[in-house]
Amino acid sequence: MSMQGGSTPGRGLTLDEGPRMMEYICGECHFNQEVKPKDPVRCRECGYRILYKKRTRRLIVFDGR
Amino acid sequence: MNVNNLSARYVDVKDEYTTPRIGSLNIKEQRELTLKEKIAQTEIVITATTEFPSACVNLNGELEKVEFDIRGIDPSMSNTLRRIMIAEVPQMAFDRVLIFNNTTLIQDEVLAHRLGLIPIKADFRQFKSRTEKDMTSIDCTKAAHVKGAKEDDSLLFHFKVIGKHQKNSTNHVQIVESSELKWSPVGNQKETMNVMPCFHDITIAKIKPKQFIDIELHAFRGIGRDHAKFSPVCTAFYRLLPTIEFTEPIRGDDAVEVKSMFSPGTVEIINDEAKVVNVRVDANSREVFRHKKYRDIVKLGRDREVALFSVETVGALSPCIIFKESCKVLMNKCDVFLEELTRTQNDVKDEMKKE
Repeated sequence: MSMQGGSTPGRGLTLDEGPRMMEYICGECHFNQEVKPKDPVRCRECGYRILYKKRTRRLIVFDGR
Repeated sequence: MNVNNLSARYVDVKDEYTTPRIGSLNIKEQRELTLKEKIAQTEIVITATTEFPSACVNLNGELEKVEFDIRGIDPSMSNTLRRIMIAEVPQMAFDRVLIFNNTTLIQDEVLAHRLGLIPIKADFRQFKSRTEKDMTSIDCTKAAHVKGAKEDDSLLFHFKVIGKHQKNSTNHVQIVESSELKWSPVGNQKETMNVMPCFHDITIAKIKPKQFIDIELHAFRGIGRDHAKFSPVCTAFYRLLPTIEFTEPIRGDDAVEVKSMFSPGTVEIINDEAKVVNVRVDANSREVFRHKKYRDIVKLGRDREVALFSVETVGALSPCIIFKESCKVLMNKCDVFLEELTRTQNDVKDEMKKE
């Protein structure tokens, strides 16, 4: 359970479960990584310091027109 | 020079054109025909057909376009049929796009719009139309609230793509085409139909490695009046048969010149005299009216009784079926109208009785 963060489908807002780990994406190499609250904001692969939040996996309905 | 002004007074408008009629082409007797007789004299002649080019693998050998003449009906009727084909013959199209994830550069709204316009090879006659309240609401945010596809009124498609890594290049761009749309049959749809996008090479999006699309699509039956994506025809048009008449014989060099003023094949020189061979191919350029010499000799007109139709399908159904269905729609309209007429007639009678 602890591996699941805000980016899990249907669990968008369950933030109180266990140690909070969020998945972020590196702005440079698009590496997918988990970041704990006290971790440095830094990509583990390339050292880039800009990380992006993942898009919500909630359903959005559109009219195809 | 304004060609229209120049030639306006020469364009032939016969008196009979101003009174509306149901049609009287090739009618030898002078007596007034009943409506039924006139309809019986109306004929539809198929003149030319075009096949899909062999490049379109999935539609290979199927009829794409049909050309036919309708003789003996008023242009108002031809126009009715044309308008019905464009706006009132139903067609299946994606109407609800449920986006679970889309990390590509193309925005959700744009993607949904693009998907909506993809023609689906499905026969609308196998479906009922779904009411707006049975469709998933636009505000819906929970998968549990989605109103599922039913086998008799909707088609379900899944569209799931992940950008793949290419070994040699980091910037590999993958083009997602309509072949990625996967049909999921609902109920016994699998036995009764075979549904797919009409074309398998329509570009939907371009994605880079690790970008991700996860979409569920619901297609419903609709009509072109609601949105153009529901229109079953690409182009459906008719033109009236042109008429060309030479009041005096045109010979020699003049004949060659006159021949060059019409579309190739319209006028040919036979025994040193210009003769109209095939009016059908003429594009009605009215070029002759620019030359004083021929202005009064050549008469151009339109035969209102002959409509040259051209119907080209989007790919879902054969153009012949689309035309047949347009006739059915028109018949239904007539029934509704007649019902309405008898009802008002009865109302009037009732009122008279009361008085």
